Amino acid sequence: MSAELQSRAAQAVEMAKSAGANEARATATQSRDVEFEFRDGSLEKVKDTTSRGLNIEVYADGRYSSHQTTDLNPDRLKGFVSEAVAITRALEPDEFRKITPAELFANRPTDDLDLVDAAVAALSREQRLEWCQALDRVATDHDRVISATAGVYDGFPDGSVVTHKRHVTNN
Amino acid sequence: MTIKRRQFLGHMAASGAVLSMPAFLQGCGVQNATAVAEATPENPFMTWFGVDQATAARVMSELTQRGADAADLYFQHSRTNNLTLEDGIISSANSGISQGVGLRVVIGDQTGYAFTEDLAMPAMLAAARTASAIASGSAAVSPQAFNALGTGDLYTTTVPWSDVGIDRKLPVLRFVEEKAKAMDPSIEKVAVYWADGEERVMIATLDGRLVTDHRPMTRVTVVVTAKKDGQTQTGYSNIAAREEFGWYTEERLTTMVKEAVDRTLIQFEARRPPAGEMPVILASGPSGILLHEAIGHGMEADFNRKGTSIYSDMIGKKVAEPFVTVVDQATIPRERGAINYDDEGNKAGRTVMVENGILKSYLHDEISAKQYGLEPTGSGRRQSYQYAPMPRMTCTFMEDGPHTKDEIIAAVDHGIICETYTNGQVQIGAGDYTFYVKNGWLVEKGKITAPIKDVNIIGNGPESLKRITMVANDARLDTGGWTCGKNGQYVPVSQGIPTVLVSKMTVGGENVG
Repeated sequence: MSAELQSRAAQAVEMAKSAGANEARATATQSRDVEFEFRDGSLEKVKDTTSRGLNIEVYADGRYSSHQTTDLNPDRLKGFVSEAVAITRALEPDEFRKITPAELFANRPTDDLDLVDAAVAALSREQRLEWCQALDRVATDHDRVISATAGVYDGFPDGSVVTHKRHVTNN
Repeated sequence: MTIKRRQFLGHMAASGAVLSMPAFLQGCGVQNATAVAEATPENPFMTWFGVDQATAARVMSELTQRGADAADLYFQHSRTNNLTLEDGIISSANSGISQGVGLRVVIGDQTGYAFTEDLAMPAMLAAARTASAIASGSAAVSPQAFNALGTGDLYTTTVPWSDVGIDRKLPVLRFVEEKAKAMDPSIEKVAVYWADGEERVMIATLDGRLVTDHRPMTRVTVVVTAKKDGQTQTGYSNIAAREEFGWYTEERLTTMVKEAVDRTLIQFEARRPPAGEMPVILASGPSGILLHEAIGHGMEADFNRKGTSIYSDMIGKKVAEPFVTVVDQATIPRERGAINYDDEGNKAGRTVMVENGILKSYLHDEISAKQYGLEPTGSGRRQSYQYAPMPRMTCTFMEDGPHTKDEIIAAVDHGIICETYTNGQVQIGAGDYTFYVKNGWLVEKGKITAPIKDVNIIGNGPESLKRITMVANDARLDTGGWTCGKNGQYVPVSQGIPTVLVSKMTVGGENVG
């Protein structure tokens, strides 16, 4: 998670509070996804993307709404968050819409679940192609197969959650 | 014959009354209390990001540095707003802004794709280099100078959705709720779901086309729950279009609410029909979902060029009776599935897939068109800048036939009418399908005798197409907000059909006697 994205999430929470929210929770995310697709023995598609975005949940006087944007320009983000708060305040109150109290997260396990295999992110183009070819060979090794598509996909999502009191990073 | 939207509307609004203006529309100006964010400019790429033609040309050169048969830059800025009324309160809202550029390079039938949400030059050049890696060592291709093709006029608006504040939308939700509750004392719960949005796209292609399109969209759904004699029933209706706020007239909303209430209340009297193979009448309008799913997808050229569609070798052959004509037409003004240009920058149009029972054309994107040696049909669509385009439907319908609805009903000795659907599954390509029919009617000795509900129908699209033995003259597009999913991408579509008779279909009702 880049420092810039974490900073945007923190800024968004402050923007929301400045605009009149009682509470806010912002989640910044980024993800790199790679996809190789083979069809009938040859490479058909390569997709390599990096996406990023920010989600903000706004709580204002018993009202709640959620908003997402991929436009992280600071000036436009400020307008976006201000509008989000205005929308929230125009809603009707719902007594069950409250930000989860931080105390409820106390003493929860913080073990690293070891979900990220760095070797996957470091896979070479040649390795991905080799796996596609291996899958394709198996699939097309039958006379009755009309067409076969084989693909190798991997993604590396990364996120950071900011409330006005807490900051948690996940990947 | 070309079916125009006006004809469909004629079927839907037979009363022909002048549309009245409800209170929530009266006296509303463009300004509003809560639209505090900067309004979206008409061309945000230029205004916000400085993406001018020189920038686009530089990125295109990088994209095609290792060779290309075709390439495009798909800039998109989309904005959505959603509101929900449940349990008597409007307590849920969601909004979103999504912007980015997708970069595609095509060599033969190979595609290299990348996108970035950072529209600064370094990020776009990096994405271009990533996408260009599909090619290996070919000579660079020089992009043509961009020639702006302008925009279309299928869904022009006077007030963009970004200028319509929440204070104008809330009364619409409340109106729908109150209208539904007032229609019958058994109505216990009403949920109303509002959605509006607009997207602006700019497509620059290797061969020099520069296309812009502003695409508005809105949808309202009402879900009604009624309780009577210890039974609970639920029904829904929705309306959707590429329209602006003023489209929500009192009459239009009331018609939608009445449809949802009628569909709900009739279920108290309805039963499940006897199971087995029998003639099935597909009611006009919503039954277009079967046409779309079970037949239309088989006409998309990507399945055919891969040889995985049952229609792969059927061009020029008879696939239905001579009175069956199936069309995909993107140019029906303001329809949910309408598009001025497809997402490859080709002018969208009208493709006759089946003409008088003969399979005439698939729906082509640029890759499949090149493979078949044909011109694209303007059918290359994508969910967003995050995806490469592929052949998709827009507004798919069957044209009027020579029969009447009454003649079709009279021709059935024992069968059912399928009127509304809640879900279904289709094996795209082969066309095997199941659909869940929420509302319908039993037909006995040529007459409608009883309402039915909760029926599964099972069949095969191409087989069902062959078994259409009568087509009525009451074609209409469904008013609902359909979204088509394919290979993980979702695009808005419209579909319609006249009343048709399928001579035999498997109906999963109850075995009696």
